[in-house]
Parts: sequence; structure tokens; C-alpha cells
Amino acid sequence: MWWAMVCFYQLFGVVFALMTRVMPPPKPWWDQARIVQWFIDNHSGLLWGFGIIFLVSGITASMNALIAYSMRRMSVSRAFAYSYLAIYSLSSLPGMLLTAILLTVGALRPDRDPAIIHMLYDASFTAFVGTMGVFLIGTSVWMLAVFLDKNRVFPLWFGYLNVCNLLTEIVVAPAWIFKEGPFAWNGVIAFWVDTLVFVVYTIAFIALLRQMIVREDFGNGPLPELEQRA
Amino acid sequence: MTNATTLNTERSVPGQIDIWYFVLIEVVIFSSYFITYMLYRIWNSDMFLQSQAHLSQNFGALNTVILLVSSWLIARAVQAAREHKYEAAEKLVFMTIACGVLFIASKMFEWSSKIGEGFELSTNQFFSFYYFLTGIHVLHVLIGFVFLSVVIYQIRTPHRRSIKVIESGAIYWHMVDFLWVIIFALLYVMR
Amino acid sequence: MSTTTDKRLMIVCLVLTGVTLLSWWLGASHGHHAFSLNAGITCGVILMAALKVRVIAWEFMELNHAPVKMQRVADAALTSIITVLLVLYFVGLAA
Repeated sequence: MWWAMVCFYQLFGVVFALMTRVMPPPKPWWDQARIVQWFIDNHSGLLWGFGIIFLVSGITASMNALIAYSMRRMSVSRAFAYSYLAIYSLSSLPGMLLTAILLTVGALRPDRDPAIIHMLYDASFTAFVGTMGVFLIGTSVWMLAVFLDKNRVFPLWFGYLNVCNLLTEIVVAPAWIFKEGPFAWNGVIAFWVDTLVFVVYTIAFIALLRQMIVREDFGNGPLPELEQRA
Repeated sequence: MTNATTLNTERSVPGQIDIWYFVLIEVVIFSSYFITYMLYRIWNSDMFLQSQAHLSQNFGALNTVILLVSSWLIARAVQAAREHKYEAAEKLVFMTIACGVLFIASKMFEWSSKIGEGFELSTNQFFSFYYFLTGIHVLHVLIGFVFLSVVIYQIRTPHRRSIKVIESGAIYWHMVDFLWVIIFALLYVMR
Repeated sequence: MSTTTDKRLMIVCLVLTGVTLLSWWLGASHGHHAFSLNAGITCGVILMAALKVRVIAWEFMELNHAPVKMQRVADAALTSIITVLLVLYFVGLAA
């Protein structure tokens, strides 16, 4: 069975090269935050950006698989990995693809009635932010798994970093109420701090996942069961 | 020089180092909130001052005292656990949780009275910051209950007892305490 | 030994100079913004908060027994945030 593992890691390697390049700045989301009229301004940026996002969406699935796999490697119940996988495959549909599709639809024809553009904009934003709660649960599942894990697949501080990420994601909640100021969805607190923490979080977990793969490669037991014994 | 090195070997990291990374990140995040608050305050200082006058200093001070006492209790709990007085430690942790509940209850009361007076999250920027900062802090208190529950669990199950984990829980609680100290200074008393 | 003493002396000197400059700035330089009661209260409140945080960190969180490096980091973090807050406040006053 060892060759299956090698293939597995090869695949992971490819995913990684792509992911580390792609994951931290999915720019189109950030740019969307500025103005409602941004469809016209960002016409080609949107189409190109979401073209890339459509490509990325597939990779996200394999990344989720990798994260879920990391939880399988832990000493915790498999339910963690499965629920994480379920949550993320569910939320990536409305949270990412629906947003991208709606916005692309909006950007394709700039001569459309502004009211419809506005509706598309709102709908995509709501789809995007509305899934935050689901992502929250996903993050807490991962967090719990890291804390409970005895194999130390991830260091403890990563569990705490999950908490930080959770807390700043909750901070986004007031974005529902405010249209301007620090708590609006492009505000200093709701957006920039949150994004910064998320970027740090992303860098950390990508580095840690890569570390996990390296650790596995050099370990004498590539199978999860063997690693547990070590 | 030898004196310094022997001193260094006696020194050890309280709790797990991981919790300190967490504290550091939290401090950075909260600092960014505080700095944002200060900036908005500068841009609108009169409005902030006027709105601030509507806050109850008494509540703020009461909250601070409650949290300081709770910090003291959990510090004593850690000390008791170190001396293997687990029953006393458990009692102290429960008292800490009671303080936390008291804190949240008083916060709820304060919020409801503020809302009753017509000051809501979207009333003005000062109250946005007020509800946001106190809210995120209350959230930290709630998470603190999880930490304290872990501490109690550790104290109760003899084969799992790890003084490092107990200390880490206490460190989290102290962090909640000192964050409130700064929030209190910035929201309630500074002019 | 001498290097640590040197560093300590330098920090002490910097703190003293900083406080002096602050009081000079508060008192004299800005004619139209003489030292106000509010500024004094705020300064005191923020510094007292810093003191409280430092005591909590040292006594409750037991940083007093922690490795020197950790103490340094903690002190640096506390000093920088308090400095930034105070500077922001006084810049706001002057603006």
C-alpha cells in the first residue's frame, strides 16, 4: 500500500504549490468591499478574478481534504474529520461559488438595470457573509481536534490561533448593522484586523500542514496507525 | 555572571508556552482595537466625551473590582493545586466562575439600562465602540468559562492533573482581567 | 554584567527623558494648549491602567518567575501599546 501513500503525497505536493500561491490573497473579494458601482469599475478584474476563483474552488476541496486528513491523523474521533469535511464542502458552495457566480453574472453585462446589479451584489455578499457561521463551526471543530489530539499533529498554539481566528470572525457580525465606520464590512475592525488575523492563520496552517507532510515522509510509518504507535 | 545563570535556571515559563503565544496575539489584536478607538476618538473628540458622560463609572469600577477579585481567586487556586490541596483549589475555581457570572450579569444589566436610555449599538460611534469592546470582552469571559471548566476537570481527575494546564487556564483568565483594565480606562474614565 | 547594567541605565535614561519631554510638551510649548485637567486625568488613568496590567502580569500571571526574555517581550508590548495610546491622545489634543 505504500505506493498509494506516495501518490497521495505527490498530489498533496502539487496542491500545496498551487495553494500557497493562491490561498492568501483572493483579491476579488477584498475589492468588492469598496463601492456598489464597483461592477463597472472592476469589470475585467471581476471576470478574471473570479475565473481564478472558479479554478481555486476545486483546489479548496483538496485542501479541505488535507485538513480533514490531518484530523484523521490525530488521536481524536473520526467524527471531527467528517464533520469538518461536511461543513466545508457545504459552506464552500454558497459561500464561495455562489458569490463568485452571482458577481460574475453581474459583471458580465454592465448595461443591466442598476437595481438588478444591486440585488446581485447584495445577494452575493449575503451568501458570502451568511456562511460565516458555518465556517465558524468548521474552525471550532478543527480547534477542538487540535486541543484534544494526543499525537500532536499540530502544536497547541495552533489551537489557540484557531481561537483568535474565531474571535475575529465573530467581530465581523456587526457588519450586518453598519454601513460605515470601523465596524462596517470594509471597516478597520470588521475587515482589516479580521483579514490580517486570517492571513496569519492561513500562513500558519499552510506551514503546519506542510510540516505535517514532511514529518510523515521522514517518519518510518507513513500510515496513520503506525504514527500513533511511535 | 554565575549568579545570573543560576537565576535563569530557576526561572520557568508559567503555564504552557502556547498560551503565551495566544496572549501575545490577543494583545496585538486588542491593541489594534484600542488604537482604532483612539483614532476615532481624536476625529470626534467632543461627541466621544459627551457620550462617555452617559456611561456609569460605578458599573465600570464595580466590574473591574469583580474581575480583579476573580483573578486573585484563580491565582490562589493555582497555588492550592501546586500544594496538592485539590479540594480547596476546586472551590476557588468555582468562586472564580461565580465572579465571572457576576461580571456578565452586571454587564447585561448595564447594557439593558443603556438600551433603555436609548443608547444602542448604532446610536453613535462611541456607543458602537462601547458595545463592541465590552461585547468582545464578554465573549472572552464566556470562553474563559471553558478554560476554567478544563481546569476543574484537571483538578478532579487525578491521573490527568497537569499543573501546566491549570496554570494556562489561569493565565487566560488573567488576560481577560487585564484586557478589561485597559478597556475600563479607555471607555469609562479617560477624558 | 556590565552590558546588562548599561542597557538598564540607558532605558532608565530614556524613560526619564521621555517623561521630561512629555511634561515640557504638556506645560510650555503649545501656548494655546496649556496643560488641562482632562489631559492630566487621562494621562494618569492610562498610566495607572498600565501599572495594573503590569502588576497582574507579574504577580498573577507569574511573569516574575518567567525567563528574562519573556519579561522583556511583555514589557515591550505593554510599553509600546501604552506609548501609542498616550501619543495618540496628545496628538489628538494638539490637532
